[in-house]
Amino acid sequence: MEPKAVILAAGKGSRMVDLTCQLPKCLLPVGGLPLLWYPLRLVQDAGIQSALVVVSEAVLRDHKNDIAQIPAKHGLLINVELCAVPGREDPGTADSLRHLRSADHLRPTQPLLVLSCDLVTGCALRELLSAHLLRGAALTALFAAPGDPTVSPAAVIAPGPKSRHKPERDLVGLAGPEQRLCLLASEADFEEEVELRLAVLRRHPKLLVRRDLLDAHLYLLAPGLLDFVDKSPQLSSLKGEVVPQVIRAQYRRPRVQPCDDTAPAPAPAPAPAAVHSANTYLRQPRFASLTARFAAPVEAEDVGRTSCFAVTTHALTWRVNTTAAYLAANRAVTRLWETLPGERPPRLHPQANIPSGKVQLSDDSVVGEGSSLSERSHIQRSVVGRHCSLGPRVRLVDCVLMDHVTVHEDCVLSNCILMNSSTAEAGAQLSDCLVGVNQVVEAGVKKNREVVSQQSGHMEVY
Amino acid sequence: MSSKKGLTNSLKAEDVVQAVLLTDNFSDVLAPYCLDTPLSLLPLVNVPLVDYALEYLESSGIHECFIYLCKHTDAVKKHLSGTRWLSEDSPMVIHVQTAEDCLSLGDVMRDLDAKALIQSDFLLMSVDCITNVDIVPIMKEHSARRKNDDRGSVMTLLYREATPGHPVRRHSAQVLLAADAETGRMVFHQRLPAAARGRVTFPLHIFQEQSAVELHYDLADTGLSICSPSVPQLFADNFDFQTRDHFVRGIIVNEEVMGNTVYHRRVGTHYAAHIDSQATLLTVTQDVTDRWVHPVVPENRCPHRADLRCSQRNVYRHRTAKVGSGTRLEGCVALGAGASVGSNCRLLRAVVGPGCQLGDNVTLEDAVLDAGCVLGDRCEVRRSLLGPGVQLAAGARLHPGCVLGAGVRVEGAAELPQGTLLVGRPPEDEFGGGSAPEPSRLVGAGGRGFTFLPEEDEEDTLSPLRLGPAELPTAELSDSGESSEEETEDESEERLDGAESPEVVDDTKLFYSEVLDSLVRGFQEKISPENLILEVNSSKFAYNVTVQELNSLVVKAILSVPEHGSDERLAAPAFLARLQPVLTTFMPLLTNYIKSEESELSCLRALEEFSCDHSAMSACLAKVLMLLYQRDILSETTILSWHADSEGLSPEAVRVRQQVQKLVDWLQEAEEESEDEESEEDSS
Repeated sequence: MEPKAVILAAGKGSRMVDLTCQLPKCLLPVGGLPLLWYPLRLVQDAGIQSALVVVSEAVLRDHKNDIAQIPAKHGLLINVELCAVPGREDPGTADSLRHLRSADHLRPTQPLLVLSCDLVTGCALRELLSAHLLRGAALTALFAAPGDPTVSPAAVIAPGPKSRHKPERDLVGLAGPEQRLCLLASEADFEEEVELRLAVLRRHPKLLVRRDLLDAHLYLLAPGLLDFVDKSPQLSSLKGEVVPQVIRAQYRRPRVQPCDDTAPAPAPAPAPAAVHSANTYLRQPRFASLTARFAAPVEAEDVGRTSCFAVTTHALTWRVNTTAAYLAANRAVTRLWETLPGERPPRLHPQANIPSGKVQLSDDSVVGEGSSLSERSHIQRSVVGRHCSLGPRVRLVDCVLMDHVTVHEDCVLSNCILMNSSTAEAGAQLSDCLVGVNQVVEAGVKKNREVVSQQSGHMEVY
Repeated sequence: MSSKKGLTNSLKAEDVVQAVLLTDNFSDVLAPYCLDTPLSLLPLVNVPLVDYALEYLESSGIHECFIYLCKHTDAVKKHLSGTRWLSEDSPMVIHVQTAEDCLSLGDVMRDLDAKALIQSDFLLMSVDCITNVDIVPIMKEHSARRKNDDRGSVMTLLYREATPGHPVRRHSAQVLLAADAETGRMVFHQRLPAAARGRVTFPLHIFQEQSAVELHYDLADTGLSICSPSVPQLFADNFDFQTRDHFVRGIIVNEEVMGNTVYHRRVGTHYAAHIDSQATLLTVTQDVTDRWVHPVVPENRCPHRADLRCSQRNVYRHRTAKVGSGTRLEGCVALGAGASVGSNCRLLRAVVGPGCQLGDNVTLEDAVLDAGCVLGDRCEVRRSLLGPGVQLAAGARLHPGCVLGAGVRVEGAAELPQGTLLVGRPPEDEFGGGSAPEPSRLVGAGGRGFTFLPEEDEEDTLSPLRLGPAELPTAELSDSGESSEEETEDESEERLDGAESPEVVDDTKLFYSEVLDSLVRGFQEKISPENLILEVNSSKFAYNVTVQELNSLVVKAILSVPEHGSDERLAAPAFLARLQPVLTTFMPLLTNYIKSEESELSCLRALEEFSCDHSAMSACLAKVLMLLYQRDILSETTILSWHADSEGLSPEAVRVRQQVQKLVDWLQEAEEESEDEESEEDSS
């Protein structure tokens, strides 16, 4: 059964405020394409025909068309439904799901594919979907194994003043060849000790606890779990609260007798005093009797309980939720494009004006539609957006230029982000800088680790 | 390494493969079965353990072996002198080290260090380890790691894979360890009691220091470890290291300081088991007779191979053993030299020691008989261990889990209940004097046998792994053990009520809800009351509730069963109609728990408390009391004294007491008729 894809894009991007205070996160260009394009393409490649994109009310008001036109503009066939979560400023991911459920956007009988709009991955989801169905899993989560260290966000210097905050890590407990997911917790949740129920170890006596995996924040949930989220209003975050509860339910004794096919689904919350867990809401997926024939036999211990699995991918994967990750993804996104099945975005747009033979352009750079480059410029591992104009003898290394950016002659930029309609005048030398929307860097200026932004003054006031 | 031994053998020092064999386990986990026998002479399928160990060491290519004798040294020396091990042409050089002042593994290691006997990596083996592991390649692995990868690697511990509940580990201390997934370097090591429940905690930093950590709860200790030459010295430097566990913990905790590391390795498809409880002794006995440990099989261990005839279904008969007509040796049976079995006996998975005399119609199942046991006709022995010279008179029956020490004599057709532990001589009184202990009543008139009380270990903190010998399992017990494990799957689970954090939920509440769950399930699925009692008892231990709390909570739980799962309150007649079958079902439970006057009182108080906020119950309280009275669970004196004790009662409680006034009056009349006294109570 085709899962319902829900792309969560209502978050504010609070870990990359320099960028997201000027442009909604889901529209930040990565390799010249809006960030949201990547999860949409991922869902489309998995054979799912439509996706529900959850945004905040403000974004829906200001950018409705920009988002709705992404498929048409960038060659996707997927049907995008837009939906806003009213009320709270920064709704939790589980809050968003509850809202969708109450607004009748989601049917409780459908499996749910929940992913975040900041997921950029080359992983093919088909495998994950079929693994989920065949195992009769309640939850399947995607994790990325550490790959090439040069393209990891940790290897990238974020523009702007030095702020060395540690990357967040998760502890992921996996058991057995089928990668049973037994533990998922942020390292920051523990003080000095990690507590584990012995019931988990009795069930999975050999348990691998990995710290090097990146939680892609892509979860496939069995139909009943939406009801569980719906009936547990105290759970606000999907990753931080709902998923750990579902994982834990694997080791709880099922409260209800495992229902046979004839009996109606157990009424949720039989007694108010009774403890409810994710197990209470499990229901047989439709057509279970058909898939069961191909599925692995369910272990006796799993009857009436959730079962959670992890799928680990070795494909390039980023969670673009920090400025460093944003830069890292831009640098290597062309490598990801090469792995896409079917049509790939053009690296050099046919309508870009590139004087042949006079420009040094590295293989992993991107030039967007209508941009023009001048002679003797040198572009390395950089992304040039649409309708940009670059003067002669410009040097770009590890840079991201969004749309309508002008870089005058003799500029030297390294590891910089130039946002929409910004300008660097002749001879400017910038490294590790971020230039905000409509900002101008004056001629001959040298800047290092700065954020040039209208709001930067405001930001300090806060 | 520097050759301390002298220049003469410095050349070959590197190549000599050394082993240290401990002939003692420095504990009494096997008492009372081998209270007086030295551990190394403990027979396993009629062959002393030390023979297994030496044979193994020789066949696996050890060149030099140091045997440490700490207790009963003369007996062991005498045994060794009669064997081929000490002869000149033995390929393995054996040095017998007598060290009667050694009281622990640590002492032995310090002695090794003082005598500077160790020149290279060596195998440390305990005599109670039965194995067929190919050890030399593993030792080479250890040496290679020490030379190439990790100079600080001091020990490699060998483990056997065994899932929780595997017979080889079920009754032993459980091993829980964490190791770097890539290298196998141990970063955490803990022993848990056999019936551990609840949670375990790991220090966070072990997960942060390596990218992946493997948690192992699937291992059983083998008693084998490979040590670097620096191990004895480390023991000498840290005089508080007594056991290997101390050593491992010390190394792991102080890793940064000393730069020493410990690794673990699994023995793969080989067999290895460490006899650390009487239950494991039985398991290993069966594994050896079942030929799992090939080439360690009974006929290879017999001093005169031709003497033992091995036939179908793993029956090993000594040439001189006699078997009467009509006797069935059903499988996995070993008969020692000179043993005689009467006619029409039935033996299954049994070891009969040399010189044992079995009468007619004897049944042995999962039994081990040491030398010289005498069993009369029609004896039945199931899953029990009998020490040397035990005598059972005709018709004696041993239920599973009995252990009889050397020289016990059971007279008459006695029946020994599950888990009986008897020794043949009175336990020594540490403080001297005192009255001589009475022989156990179980052995009948003229019998000999004293109840064995496992000593309370004062050093519990040092060896939390010590298990009482009562751990010998029975088939029934282990079954219910399974179900209680399932039962506790979600014990101490945070409740999902949201606001309520797990710390707020106290143990009694958890215990109560668990008991209620057990009872509801027991009632629906008609689980036998015995099993329910076991479940409740295991919950009791898990949550550490007192006996009085337990009694009162069990009563309350029983009363809650009729309305469990439904929201609305039943009216009194309907409630009573539902309660009656519940009470009848759980009557054995009540009989089990409500025995003393104190427990009767807590039962009554529980009834009262329950009735206070339950009108239907309060209406039919009199009927319930009547029923309990008729079934002899509550006595009239307790009911009356409960009713009379009316100080500081809440209005509800007073009302409840009024409800049962009639019954009380009736009881008083009955009592007055019989006793004609004690009528000063306020009967108005």
